[in-house]
Amino acid sequence: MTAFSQPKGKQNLLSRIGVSATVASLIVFVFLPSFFLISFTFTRWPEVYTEVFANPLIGDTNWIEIQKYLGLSLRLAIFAVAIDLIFGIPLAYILARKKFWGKGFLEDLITFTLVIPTSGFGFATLIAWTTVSGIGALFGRGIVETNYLIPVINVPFIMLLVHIALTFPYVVKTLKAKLEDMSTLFEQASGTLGSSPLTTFRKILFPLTLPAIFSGAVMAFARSLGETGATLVVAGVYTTAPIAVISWVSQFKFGPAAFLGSLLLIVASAIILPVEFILQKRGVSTFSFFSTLHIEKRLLKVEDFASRKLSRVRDAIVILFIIIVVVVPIVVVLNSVVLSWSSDPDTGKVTESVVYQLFGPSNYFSALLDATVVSFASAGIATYIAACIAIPTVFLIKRYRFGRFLRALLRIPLIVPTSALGLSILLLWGPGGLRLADPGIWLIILTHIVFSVPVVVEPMLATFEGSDIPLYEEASRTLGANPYNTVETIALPLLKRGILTGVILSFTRSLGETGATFLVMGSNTTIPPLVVNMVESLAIPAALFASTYLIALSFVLLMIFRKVTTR
Amino acid sequence: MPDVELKNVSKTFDKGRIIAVDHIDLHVRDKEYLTLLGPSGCGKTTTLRMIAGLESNLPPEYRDIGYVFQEYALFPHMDVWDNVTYGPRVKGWEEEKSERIGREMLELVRLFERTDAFPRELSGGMRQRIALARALSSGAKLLLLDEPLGALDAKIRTALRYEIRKLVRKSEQP
Repeated sequence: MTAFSQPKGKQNLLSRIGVSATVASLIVFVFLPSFFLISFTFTRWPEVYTEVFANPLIGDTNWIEIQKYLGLSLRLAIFAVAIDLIFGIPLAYILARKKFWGKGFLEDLITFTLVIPTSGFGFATLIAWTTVSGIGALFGRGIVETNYLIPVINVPFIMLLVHIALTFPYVVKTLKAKLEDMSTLFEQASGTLGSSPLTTFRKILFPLTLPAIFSGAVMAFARSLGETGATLVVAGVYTTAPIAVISWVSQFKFGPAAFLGSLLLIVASAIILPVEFILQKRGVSTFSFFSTLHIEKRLLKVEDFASRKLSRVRDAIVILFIIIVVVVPIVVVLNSVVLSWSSDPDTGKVTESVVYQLFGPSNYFSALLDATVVSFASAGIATYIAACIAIPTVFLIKRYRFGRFLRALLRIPLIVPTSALGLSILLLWGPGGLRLADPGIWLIILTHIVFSVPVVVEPMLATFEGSDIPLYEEASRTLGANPYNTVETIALPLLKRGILTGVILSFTRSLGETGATFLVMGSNTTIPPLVVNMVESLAIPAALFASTYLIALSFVLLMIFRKVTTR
Repeated sequence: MPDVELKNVSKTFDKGRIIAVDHIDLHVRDKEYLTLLGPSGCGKTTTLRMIAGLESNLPPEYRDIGYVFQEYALFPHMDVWDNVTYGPRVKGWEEEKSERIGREMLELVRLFERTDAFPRELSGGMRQRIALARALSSGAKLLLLDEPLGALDAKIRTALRYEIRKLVRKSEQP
């Protein structure tokens, strides 16, 4: 009989080593970098205080600036999420409940902006809306100025547009998944009881899916608050908080940068964590807002009318939304690359062509190739290490009492704005800190591991929870398997899909990351910062090509993603 | 197989707030059939799980048990064949022996032609028979069945009740 062939003492020792090694690597690679920035600000407080509040030359100018930047970032995130919800909720409903031609393609377009490195997409949006090569071609001039500020809410138009495009998929995806899991029985029952589809939505679907809507909105908010790549490209004269962190670090003003980074981290946690906590505790059940307004009867009539007349209009508006925020930028970039391939379409200058900039004296092509190698190497290694930490972490979360605590802590690296994270890593591991690595590919990898671990853990946990693994593990035990056999033959194969999804998500996120990479990359440029540099040095044709390249790359990743996630 | 003996055994959950099993004494002799009856929540499953060693992290006191779960717990990522031969394989038995036992058990439950099917492709009655074959194939001398027929409809239930007895008797023969 070889059941439980491992002697018991040895087994305990082995598992104890495994647990401590996992916890230790989580602390060193994930938690320490996430929180170091705040402790840095505290330990150097006198220095930081002088820099921010009482500079001998400029007084508290830095503090006033910080308030301005944070204000813009928060307004941007709030309005982006609001618009995400307005268009995202009907979009998720259509995708979850209707069958129509081209639905798969529509879903791909939505996943696309999650996959594409944001600086490339930001540039596409910029070109599409502010120049004559975009939809401006129809009018002979750009549709809007880069610096056009939307009145009343004081948010730059292009920036808002880009943030919407990059964040609305979070709302759509979470809500759609929830709707698909839910039985249509409730809706049918409500329908047979005589309520119109819109009333059913308000009274049945909306309350039941509110937690999903909230969690999608929270993710969208976090992403918007920390977004750097696309924002840098479309910023014009405006500065958001993450961008300010980057520009201060590049001027070696670590004091105000660390202070702003810490504020950003604290603000993000203070807004996001309580919301998540409340959602996990009890969900959101009561929603009697409308009935308190005494307009129920009126509302029912309006909904009945709207349901009959407006479903077509709804579909059209939602499609138009996708076209405006996603399709137009892609089409414009592809078109522009073709037009300016060998010479500038307006001036006819050869020096302004894609080919000249790529292979001419500036030789952007080889820069792009180098950046591709660095990007793939760092994303690959970071994802691999992250997966090695994440897989045992999932078992810790599920098997031990401190697992819940671990899980809550792992939310932090997901919502830390990445430029704050980059600064934290630079100060912790970089030349000014523990000197583990100089700015370059290894520091990039150390940075990307921080957010990659939770990105891999999340889908694995979702798979774990949807698959009765503890039951199968017990069955395996009764059949005589030892714990190692059980993990190898039962748990890991059942988690395979979750692991694959996590690995791909982490790889794409790592590939597109800009904010943190900017600060830690040294001379090893990855693709997204390269695109930002091209735009800043006004090498527009080269940036066009790079964006096209990123779009193509993202479509390949998208296809792989789709293959893995659909049964 | 030695007798199964529980003496003054209790089990509480939720830090003692819920008493699942309250000082039970039980003695099952070799070759004996014992059925636990009682309303839901009275501790039938917990008792079985304790006998199987599932309620603690200690290795079970009784080896060579076959446990058929209420939900069958057929591994969803393995086909029928891999499910049935799982026990022999993880116990490190020789390939030849594992295969012979697997074939025997599948013939016993008359599902030999469905070896390539996955659990989700089988009906409830078939799944139940596979679960039984899996439990028997790892050399079980003590069979613990947790409401193995609960999820089935009345007609199949009666048929399988006889069949289980028949199977057990058959599998006892060398």
